[in-house]
Amino acid sequence: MSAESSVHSSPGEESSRQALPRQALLRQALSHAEHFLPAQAPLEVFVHHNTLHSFQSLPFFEALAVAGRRLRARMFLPERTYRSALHQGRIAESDLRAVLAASPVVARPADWPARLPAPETLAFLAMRHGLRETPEAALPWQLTETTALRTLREDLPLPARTRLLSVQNADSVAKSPDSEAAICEALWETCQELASLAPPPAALPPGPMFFREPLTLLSGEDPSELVHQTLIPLAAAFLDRGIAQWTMPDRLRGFYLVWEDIMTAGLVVRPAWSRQLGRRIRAHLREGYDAEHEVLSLLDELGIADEEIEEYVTQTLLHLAGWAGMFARLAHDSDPILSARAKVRLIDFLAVRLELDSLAFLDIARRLGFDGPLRELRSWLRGQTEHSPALTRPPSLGWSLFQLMQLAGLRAQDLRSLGVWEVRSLLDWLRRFALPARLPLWQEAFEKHYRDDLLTGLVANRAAQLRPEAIATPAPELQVVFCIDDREESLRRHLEAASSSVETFGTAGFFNLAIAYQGIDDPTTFPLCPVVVTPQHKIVEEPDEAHVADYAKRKTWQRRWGRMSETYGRASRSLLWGSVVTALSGMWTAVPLLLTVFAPKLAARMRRRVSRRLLPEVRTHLSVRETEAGAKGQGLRTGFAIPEKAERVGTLLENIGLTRRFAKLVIILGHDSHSVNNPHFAAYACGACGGRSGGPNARLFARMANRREVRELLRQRGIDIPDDTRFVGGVHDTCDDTIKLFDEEAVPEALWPQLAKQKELLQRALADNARERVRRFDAASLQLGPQQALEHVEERSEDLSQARPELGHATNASAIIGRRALTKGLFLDRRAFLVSYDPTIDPDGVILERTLAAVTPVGAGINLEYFFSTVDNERLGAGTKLPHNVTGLFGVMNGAASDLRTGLPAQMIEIHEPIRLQLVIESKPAALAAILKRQPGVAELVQNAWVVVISVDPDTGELLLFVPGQGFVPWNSGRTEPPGVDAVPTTPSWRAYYQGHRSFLPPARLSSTPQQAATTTRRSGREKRGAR
Amino acid sequence: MIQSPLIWTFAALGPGWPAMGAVLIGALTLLQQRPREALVVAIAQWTLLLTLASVLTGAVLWLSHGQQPVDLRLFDIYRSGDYALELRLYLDLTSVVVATVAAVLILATSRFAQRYLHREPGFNRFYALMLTFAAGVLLLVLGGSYDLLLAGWEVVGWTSVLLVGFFQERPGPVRAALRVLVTYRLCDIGLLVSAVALHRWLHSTAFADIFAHLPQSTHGAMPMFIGLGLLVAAMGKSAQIPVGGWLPRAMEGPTASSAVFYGGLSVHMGVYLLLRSAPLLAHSPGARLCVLVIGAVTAVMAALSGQVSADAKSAVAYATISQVGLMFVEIGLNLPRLALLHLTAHSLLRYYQFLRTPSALQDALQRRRAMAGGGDSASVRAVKVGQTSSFQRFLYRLAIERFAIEAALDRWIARPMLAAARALGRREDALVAWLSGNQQPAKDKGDAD
Repeated sequence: MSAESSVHSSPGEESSRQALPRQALLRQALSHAEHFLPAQAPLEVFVHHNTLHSFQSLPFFEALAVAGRRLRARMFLPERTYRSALHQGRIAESDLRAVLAASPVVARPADWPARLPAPETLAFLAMRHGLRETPEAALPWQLTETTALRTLREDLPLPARTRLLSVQNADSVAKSPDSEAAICEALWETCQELASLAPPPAALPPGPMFFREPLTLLSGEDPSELVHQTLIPLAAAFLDRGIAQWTMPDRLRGFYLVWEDIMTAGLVVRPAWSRQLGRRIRAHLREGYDAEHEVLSLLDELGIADEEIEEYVTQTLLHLAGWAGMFARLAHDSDPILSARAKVRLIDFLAVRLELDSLAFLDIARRLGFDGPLRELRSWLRGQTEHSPALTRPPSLGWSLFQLMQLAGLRAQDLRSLGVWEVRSLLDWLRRFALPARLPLWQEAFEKHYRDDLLTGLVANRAAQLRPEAIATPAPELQVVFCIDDREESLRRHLEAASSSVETFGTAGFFNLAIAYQGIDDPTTFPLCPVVVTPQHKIVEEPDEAHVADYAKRKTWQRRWGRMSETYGRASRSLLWGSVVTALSGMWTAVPLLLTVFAPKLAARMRRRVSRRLLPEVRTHLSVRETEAGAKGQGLRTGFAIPEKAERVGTLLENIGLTRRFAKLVIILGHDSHSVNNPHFAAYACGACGGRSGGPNARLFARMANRREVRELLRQRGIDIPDDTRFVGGVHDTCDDTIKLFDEEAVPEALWPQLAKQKELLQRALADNARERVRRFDAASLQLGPQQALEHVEERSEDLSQARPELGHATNASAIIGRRALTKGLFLDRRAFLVSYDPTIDPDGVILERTLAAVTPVGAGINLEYFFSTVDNERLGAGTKLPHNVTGLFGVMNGAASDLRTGLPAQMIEIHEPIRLQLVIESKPAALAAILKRQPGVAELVQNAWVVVISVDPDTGELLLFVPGQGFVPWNSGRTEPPGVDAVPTTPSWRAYYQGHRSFLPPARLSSTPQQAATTTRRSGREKRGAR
Repeated sequence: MIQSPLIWTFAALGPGWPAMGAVLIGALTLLQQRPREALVVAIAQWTLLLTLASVLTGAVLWLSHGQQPVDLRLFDIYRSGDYALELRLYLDLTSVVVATVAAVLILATSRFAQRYLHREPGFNRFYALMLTFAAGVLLLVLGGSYDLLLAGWEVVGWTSVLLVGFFQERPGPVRAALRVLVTYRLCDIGLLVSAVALHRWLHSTAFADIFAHLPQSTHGAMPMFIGLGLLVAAMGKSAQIPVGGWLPRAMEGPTASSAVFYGGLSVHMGVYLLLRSAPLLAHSPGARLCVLVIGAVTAVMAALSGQVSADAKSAVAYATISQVGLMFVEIGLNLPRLALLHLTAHSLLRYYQFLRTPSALQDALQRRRAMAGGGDSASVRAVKVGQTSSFQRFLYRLAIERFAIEAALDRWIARPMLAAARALGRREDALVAWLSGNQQPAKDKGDAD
């Protein structure tokens, strides 16, 4: 049994399987198969999660190997991409050498020929230059159509070339190409001869053969072609959450029964391949079959043995994984729209699919000349095809050896002098060193490069921050608490660069307030918290007393607009009303059409103006009715009781280490993102708020922290917030870089000048941030000024034709949990989640434990979804957005009948570099080890290396890398001396550093004084060039 | 009345500009492998702006001509004996309006695609095809004879096929493109036959000549025959029943091309063909009746299919087919002005709706917000089990199975033909084997192929 089954079944289960009846087997198979299906929720609540979540119990690389086979997906970048990263310096040769030196795959085997270079050296050459692996069948072409046997590889390192040609003197070689050809041919013949000494590659045991592959092979026609055309529109109509105007009837009976009903209603021509469908369904109806009976009887009829059920069910479901996954997902999580309207079960989908499958199999087989019943199909197919065709053709060993020997500069006579055991050992090693073994090495080297840059930056920055002038900062005038989001990294940096009296913090963007929130325009409450949390508190936004009339007007107009747009939409799709609507409004659509296409920004501004006119802005507050302590009603409680408020506020402030030195103004800043014509909009909003805005949480937090009673209680807890400190909530739109502050009018008058000043500062930082962001957009000039950059991002957020309103979390690679001093003044290129944590107030690791428990799964989820969507965008991601078609308001298809596309679209990941989350934690390793023991969820991710943990000693700054199986080992910078202050370039301004660059930049420090800046710019400029 | 030949030539260049643009992009691609996106867009924008200018010039000329049809003869492309293929344009209300709409919509598409297709591997190919399409549409619309119309028609068809299969590395789009190709090929026979018939009957296919000669000829078989030929061609291009199955499948291409091809222009070209031939059809009530029936049946069936479609693009696609069916009805009732109005308004509306299909989810959420408290949107109203009658279920089945037209075509036409071909293939193999003296006929290869 392969490792796949071990993911979900223990050995005990295996042995007890024989005793189970087929029904139990089927149920078990379904629950196992479900794990392999995409777990994506309907798009409006898109939240990032690890695509391979169900493989997390395995070590990372092992999991990738298993999942790659199971899901038939690529799990790494193509080797040539890694190799070009090596040439471009995104991977240094030293990184590759270091990884190879530590790898057991390339370790020196027994009997390794002493005359040959060490295996690491050969491995390095093979990876740097490539082995040009070629399957046996393609060899004749290589030999006759290329110059492989006449000239040496043109990319040989000079020593190798010299050594290979050293028999003759260099002059004669240049004149007579024959001698080079002779060397080549001799080498090739020797290699070929030696390769025959190796035992033939172990053939993989053939898996069970079912129907689809042999039928496709025999007829050239994929049975799924027939099935999907019928099945997909029906499945879409069944799960529809509001696109169809005529909903499928009786959905509460479940997909299978409704489908039977519909398919037997009246007389309609049946497609040739499913002519028998009516008769079969009527027979089932007579027997009173339900979906499970149907599946069981079909499994019998198809001749699926007990032990094959799980494999067959899994294969069948994976064939339309997106749809099956959506059935599974909606069956488990009650959907606010569907749960009252449809009974969704995965078994129903499987039943319909199997019935259609069997008809399609039979139809194709009939045309191939099979005339028996379905029961005999499988044995008939076995007779037709001996075995399923090999999916992979192993590369020719002799050819790989030939390439390797050239790279190593070894001639035929060198090889001939080896003993048989030595040759075997070499060939064995070479076979082991095939692509599947090399890719993880590449990936490790790739990650190591980023990690070393990052850690060097941290070390250098720490040294700089420890300088006396850096420590003596003035009392802050403004403190801003951001979400940990990697996109806020640059804004924090620019804000701090704009004024030395600003302090910033990072914490998960729901601000420790898991709430069910209903804004004034919302139809119901939505959970604003991480998806794993169920909110206990309900918060409602209500209009201020003075604005109730405006609110009523707003509601009326909104409802009018809603009805109008609903009616218009329906009418434009109906027959007669459609022509009326067309005649009346068709010509007028030219106006919005041309405006939005040619002047999107103008169109958006006009739309806003109209809606402001019609829909008055209503001043609101969050519901003040608070149940006093202990008043637990059924379900959600309205608001928080005072002690609860103090508890939430206090916990958060302790989490981020903001317990003293309060500024006059503390801004709590959630984030959101708005874009148009974008089904994946939720993927850009705040993941910690369930794919929605973090604004309400920020607003509520500020309100709570401003309460006098709360502050009293906090004082008892040791957090003394001065009376003249004011908290203000706000929300940052990461797409168009605007900030909206809430309840400004409630700020005491004494603070107004201060508030105005700080808003100006924020505005400047936003413009700087926009300017840094646009360097990543090819469509934006690198010369844009800050205002132009803001306009550019505004246009992106309003443009119908914009497939990339923003780049989301693309390029995310690390998370840093610790004091801001660790990262302040360090350029992290918007790649790091920054989590504030003060180890000095957390001696027993309690705060760190809850921080890690909350942050690790979220960060890893985002990071790994980007990882897998990037390495195989077709199978694990959603592919290009261009043909996407919103289906049933829950997903997207390509065109009119394809599988649901899950994961991230190509436009979101195209600049992403897949790197596992590098989780840097400012804490003693002992404390971390203790936390890992207590938090199994975090431990699984860390110990199986789905995230890479690095601990920074809070006192000494020593860096330790967690290696699974070995624990924490000292991080080796790869330098002879420990990196100092000048280990990374410095720059007078962020602008000067990124100016003119589109691609990734390594960390850099902001030089603290202008004088220092003048001397270092030149150097940093030089290093930058070197780094590119 | 403007006489300057320069202005006339400029007006006639409408189809020429985009053709030049397409050739230029093609040449650049040959010369420098992959010209920059900005350059390609600049070429497209400029040529399309010039196209629009030419079309508007044509419109002004037509107006200055007292709104009388203008038959603009430029030069002979080819002449042999009796037959001459002349480059001539025909400007009247129909062609001027449709050409203006086409020029505007394609210009908008080129602007839209600039960002929408940014960094797509097929970016330049898309632009080259779009410009070729523009040339085809304008030739089709402005061309002064059925010969030129046919040429434009073919260009439009081929570029549509290539754009449906835009993502050529995936099997789905390629299969869909093949389907479009087969439908177009079969239906275009109608147009070809009609053109040939016109040559034999009136010795000309130029609209001006035909419309001038028509009053003298009596009702007869010829107008009916030609009208039916034109109808067959129009049905294919306008996705009318029973050959409309290709349209929903054609959604495999990028949204921008769906909008311009199926929402805005291509699908209306069948209506345009019939509008252009309205004087001819006026002489054949029989053909008009066929147009009416086909249109009416399509309109009803497509509207029903659209109602049950659960994906945004199919819903709009069926709604489009249904309205185009109504335009057929209007033509069948001999109401060309109404059909022209319908066509113009409809192309703009659907174009916009197609461009906005990715917004379906955001729009629905916004509607849900706006209607807060007013219950859910009516379309997802909970229906209790057993409330639907068996007739409603039957109707639902018909709608969601698209009235089984595809199934019927496949079962009674495609499959028997394939089976016959296979059988003939086997016979031939056997015959060859016998002739070559091989007593053991080769094992059936027909089935494996």
